[in-house]
Amino acid sequence: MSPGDRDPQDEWLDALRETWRQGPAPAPDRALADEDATTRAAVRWVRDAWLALPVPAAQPPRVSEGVAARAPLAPVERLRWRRLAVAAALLVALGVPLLVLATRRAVPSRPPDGAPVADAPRPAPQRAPEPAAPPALPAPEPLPAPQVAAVDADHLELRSGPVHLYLITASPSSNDEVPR
Amino acid sequence: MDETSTDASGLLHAVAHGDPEAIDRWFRAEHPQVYRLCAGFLADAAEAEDIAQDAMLKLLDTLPRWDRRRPWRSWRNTLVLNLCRDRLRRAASRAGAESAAAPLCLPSALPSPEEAAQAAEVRALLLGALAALSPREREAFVLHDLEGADAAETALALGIGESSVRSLLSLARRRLRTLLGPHLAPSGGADA
Repeated sequence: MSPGDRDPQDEWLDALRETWRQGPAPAPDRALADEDATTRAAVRWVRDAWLALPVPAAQPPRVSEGVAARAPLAPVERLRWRRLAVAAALLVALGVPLLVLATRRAVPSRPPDGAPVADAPRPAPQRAPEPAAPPALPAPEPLPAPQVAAVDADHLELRSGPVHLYLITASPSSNDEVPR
Repeated sequence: MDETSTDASGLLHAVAHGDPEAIDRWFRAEHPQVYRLCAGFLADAAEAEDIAQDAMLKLLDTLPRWDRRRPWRSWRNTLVLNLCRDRLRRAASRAGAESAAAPLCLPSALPSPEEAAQAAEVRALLLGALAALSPREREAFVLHDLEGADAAETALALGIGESSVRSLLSLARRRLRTLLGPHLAPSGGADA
């Protein structure tokens, strides 16, 4: 844009900008000392009264409370999850042997002179004729994962296949309360 | 508590590690300041007492996570402020704090705080005057003019710019001037 294209209003704006630049810069922080006497007196009265505010008595927390307050989970909650984990581990430990036992019982018995399958010598690579082949065993079902069957205030029921486990929970003691 | 002193730093360290004696000392030193902050932010003595206790437990709980690069006072003030804001968000508390300004009845001359520091009258007047401010004005005023934080620290705690802090301070002071100015005794120490 050439100087000849300038709008007459631009000159006014330039003059206004220049005047604004020459003016005093705003104070970075208006301190209380810059206020008038009445404002200072009012603020001072509020400050004095605020500093003299009677503080109600309060007891420092006991250390146990502080430690408990730092716990990421409430004690009741932690206890519940811990019981659940122990119950699940028990269920797996008990349920797996029972399930294996039940699966083995389902296999038809072999002739008395027959050696156990695991101990039998491996036959030559020749394939036995189809009719002579032992009946195909049903594939064992995948082990079902332990499931929570029921949760109540006073008991918990877990189920893994045919096994049911009942956990009777005691009512929470006073130590389980979370401090405010 | 002076966060710059070695003693204070050592005390906070001991508190963070659960030393019962240190916790007791720290609590007695810190609680009055936390209570005054709560009273200033909430403009309600009963609420302040309740929140101050919560704030002390919260401070104790989160002390191990305190960022040592940040001044203790700033960190503490922000935590207390957030707790007070949470309380104020509950409609009943907010309504109570705002309506507390209505029944404020000022005497012809305010009593001197030195003479009647323990008087309930002074407390009621103080909290009534603070309740006349908006929550934001109150927060800025308490942190800057009462607690003594500078504009940058106040802005950081409030999550706003420094220019906004100045605006809030100006509004708060003007409101207090209008409210208290006519009732201040001539010897109220305008330039004390």
